[in-house]
Amino acid sequence: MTTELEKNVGRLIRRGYHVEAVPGRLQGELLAKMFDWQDTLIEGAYAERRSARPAGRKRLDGLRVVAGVRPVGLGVLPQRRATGWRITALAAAVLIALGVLFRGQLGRFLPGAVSVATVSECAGPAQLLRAGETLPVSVGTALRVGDELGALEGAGRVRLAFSGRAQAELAAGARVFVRGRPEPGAELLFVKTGRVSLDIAPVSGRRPVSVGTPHAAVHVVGTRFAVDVGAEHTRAEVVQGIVRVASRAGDQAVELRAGEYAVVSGAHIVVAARSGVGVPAGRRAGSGPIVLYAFAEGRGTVVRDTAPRGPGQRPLDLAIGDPQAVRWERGGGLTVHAPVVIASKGPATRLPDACMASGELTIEAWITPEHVRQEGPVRVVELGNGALERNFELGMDHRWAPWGPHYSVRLRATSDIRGWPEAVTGPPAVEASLTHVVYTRDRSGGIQLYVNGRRSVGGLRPDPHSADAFRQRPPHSLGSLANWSRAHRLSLANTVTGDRAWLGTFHRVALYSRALTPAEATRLFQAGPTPQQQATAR
Amino acid sequence: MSTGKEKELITQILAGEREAVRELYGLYVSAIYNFVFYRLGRNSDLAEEAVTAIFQQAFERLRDYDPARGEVYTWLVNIGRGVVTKLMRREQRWQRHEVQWAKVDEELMQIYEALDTAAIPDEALATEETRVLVSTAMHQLPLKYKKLLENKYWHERSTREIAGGLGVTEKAVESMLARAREAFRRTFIALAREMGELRPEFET
Repeated sequence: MTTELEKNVGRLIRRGYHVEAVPGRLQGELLAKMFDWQDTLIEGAYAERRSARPAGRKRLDGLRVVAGVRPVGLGVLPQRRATGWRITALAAAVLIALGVLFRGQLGRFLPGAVSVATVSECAGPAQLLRAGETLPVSVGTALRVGDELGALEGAGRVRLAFSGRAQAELAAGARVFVRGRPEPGAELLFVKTGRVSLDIAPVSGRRPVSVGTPHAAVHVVGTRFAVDVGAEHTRAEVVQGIVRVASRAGDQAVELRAGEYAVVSGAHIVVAARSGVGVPAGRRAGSGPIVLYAFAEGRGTVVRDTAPRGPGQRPLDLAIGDPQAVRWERGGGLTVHAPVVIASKGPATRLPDACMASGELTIEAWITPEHVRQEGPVRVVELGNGALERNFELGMDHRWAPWGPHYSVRLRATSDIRGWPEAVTGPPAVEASLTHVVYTRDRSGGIQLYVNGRRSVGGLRPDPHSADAFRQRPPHSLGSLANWSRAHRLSLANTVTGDRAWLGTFHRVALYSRALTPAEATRLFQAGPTPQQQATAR
Repeated sequence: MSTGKEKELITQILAGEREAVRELYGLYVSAIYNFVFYRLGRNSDLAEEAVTAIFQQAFERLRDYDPARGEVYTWLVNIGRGVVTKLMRREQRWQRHEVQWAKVDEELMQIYEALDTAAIPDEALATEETRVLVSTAMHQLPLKYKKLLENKYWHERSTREIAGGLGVTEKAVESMLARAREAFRRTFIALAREMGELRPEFET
């Protein structure tokens, strides 16, 4: 027997539970830091610090603070005061001794010793943080390793001149940490946020100068380039020369030439020409679909991905779970007449990689539903792991919308990992005939739905467990795509677990990592699914 | 994850295995982030700071981790409690001006207290206070209870599916669910009382 507590707990969790997505910025930064901490741990530094701690005294926390001196790098941890005059005196003595031993070299490792750059132009208010103090900035201000410099929002640019013919220009709102000189193997700056343009003269030797960000390391031999750091990604753009961009959270690295840019988000890198459209690194195939199914095979148990591919890239083919449930049509098309799972054998990582980097998605399908009384929503296309978790789904249902049968799209974003609310096509009700459906989601969260070349936006259907009502207004997807799963499989006509079967005929399915324009959606409709079916449609 | 596997994971991290670090990250970052996020009044900046501090302290103390004394998640949560307390002390201004606890009035409190005897009215379910309490309570629960309740009520999986996933009998799942619900109820009510008690201080 179901108890009152059981019913109440169920209702509370269904209606009120929320899992907050880990911010993309933290994801990239934290994993990189964990690797650093692992190295420190293995080197025994933590153990040495602990053993050096005076008995009975509160310990210093690992890498954080040595005698009240701010550590070099991102100061994300709470500032602490020195825990006693003895420690302060001891650390000061060590610093003095090191200074005597290494003289000017000390400045390369510790803050506050030697200037490595000066402010050469300051067109607006800027802020310099040094050892916890805020200092004025003007032309000629000397910058030291460990300094944090920010060009304030709304201010003009701030230009820095490093020794060795390197310059950096901070756009308004940019913040950087000064890390070192332009010497082989050195990190010049760490860009915390905002856009910074750099001009670095060639450095001799094999180890290039680098610029760090929370998401990436940009290695540069000698070139002009810009780094733009947002909350969840870093964009590196090359004006002249060559740079190598490496993700902090993964092993991927790419080489960029003049006119190209890369966007690093988490472990993934997308490369594009400045005038081009984002495609995954190693896959510079223009603005076409990431995957494309034309259903022209005519036989067999595999639906072939026919999208153009970059060198070394494998097609995202789909296996038909039960060949008896489908029929290949003459002249193209695949009819699903019984429930079946048509899915990729492994994760379709190409799609989340491209869409997370671009922040955009288009789902395009030419389909003929068997009938319009299907309910689930049944899945036409889904990138998910079952009925409840997905990056996106294009579904069909005859309930919910006041005008009856409709197509719907749920899209996972940082605002709701299950994809609610779902965007619904508007009236009139969809019919069991050849239909062209397009869904686009742009970087700013704007959503469009098109049915047969015409915009058709019905509204947003909220999570049925929420108290929100159906809203008939242009839908807008909150959040970003940064939390998409890379583990999901792509499926047609069902979920990968086979519990939301769609029946009908597929003529064409294409997925893009960009939002098609209204003109493009119309052109795709006018082009038809295939020449033969275009004639039938008329 | 079993204690044996957790011990193996820690051993691999100490041996320099990058994949083990990735696994530790993948297993616990989201849970720890949500644990501190709700404790810190849903302040994402503070939560990010707290998560970084927790994992840094965990790495510093990793050689001292004793699986016999608890799971890795419990250990991280214990570190997290200290970090949260320090952050809250540091952010006294935040406590005065940006505290996120919504007030829980007496009427709502009476409804919450009767979770095991009377159905919660829809109006109470729809309040922001209730939603915040549900998420906060869920993220404070031991991981096994949280996952069980997520599977049952949020993912709406059947007892049979859950039993299959855990490799136990349906009877065992029902028994665990009863304990998880009770843990949720106690945590939920304790947090609601805390909200009610905090109200006068934050209204000033």
